[in-house]
Amino acid sequence: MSVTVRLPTIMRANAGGQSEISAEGSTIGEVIDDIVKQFPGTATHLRAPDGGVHRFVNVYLNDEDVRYLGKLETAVGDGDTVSIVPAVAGG
Amino acid sequence: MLDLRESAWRAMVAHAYYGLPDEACGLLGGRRRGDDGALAEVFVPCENADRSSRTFSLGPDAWEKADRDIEGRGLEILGVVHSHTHTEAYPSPTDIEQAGNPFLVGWRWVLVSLRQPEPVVRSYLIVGDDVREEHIGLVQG
Repeated sequence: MSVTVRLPTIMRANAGGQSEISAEGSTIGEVIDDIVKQFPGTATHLRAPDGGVHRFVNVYLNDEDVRYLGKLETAVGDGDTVSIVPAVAGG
Repeated sequence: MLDLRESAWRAMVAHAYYGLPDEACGLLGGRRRGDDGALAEVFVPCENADRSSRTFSLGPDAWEKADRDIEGRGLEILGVVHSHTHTEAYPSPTDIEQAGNPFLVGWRWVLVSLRQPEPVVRSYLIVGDDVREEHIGLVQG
């Protein structure tokens, strides 16, 4: 499956200056693996020390937060849009 | 030192009151100056996705607004602004823990406290557990 990935400005310098890239995968987890494979610099923001996805990243599939879908196992379809959104929070 | 346009100061304070009883949040856009100075030109109000008086999360609208109203004007994101509705303008333990976010390296944490009758705005740089307040100078415009 080929999906369109929207990147926040903060990550674009690590992705050749692009705001949108194409990535392959059948799940959100595989798409993220492919983003890091294509642009290793994005690991700074995407990868947690344990190899998973950083907790400061929210991922949306066609505007739905994947935490409320199937998380990293969420299936993606050809032509879907995946948005990477920095999670900025506090109290 | 953070130079802050009066219009941005007014906008963040107004957004903080508008958000009551919840915390309000947004992004600060401007230009860096020297090693650790900056001129903050605009405040971009964002949705508090938590809708809480104790916590905030920038809503997904934040990044589209940042693209349009900050980067689109040739500025950069300088930091995150949020209100404390009943506590002082000092980063909470949650703020300090969240400042370890790799997206926020070098960002300022600007706090608007509504605890007193007059709003109090303060700015901090947080590195690890080190919380350093910086002077805010108001600039006309």
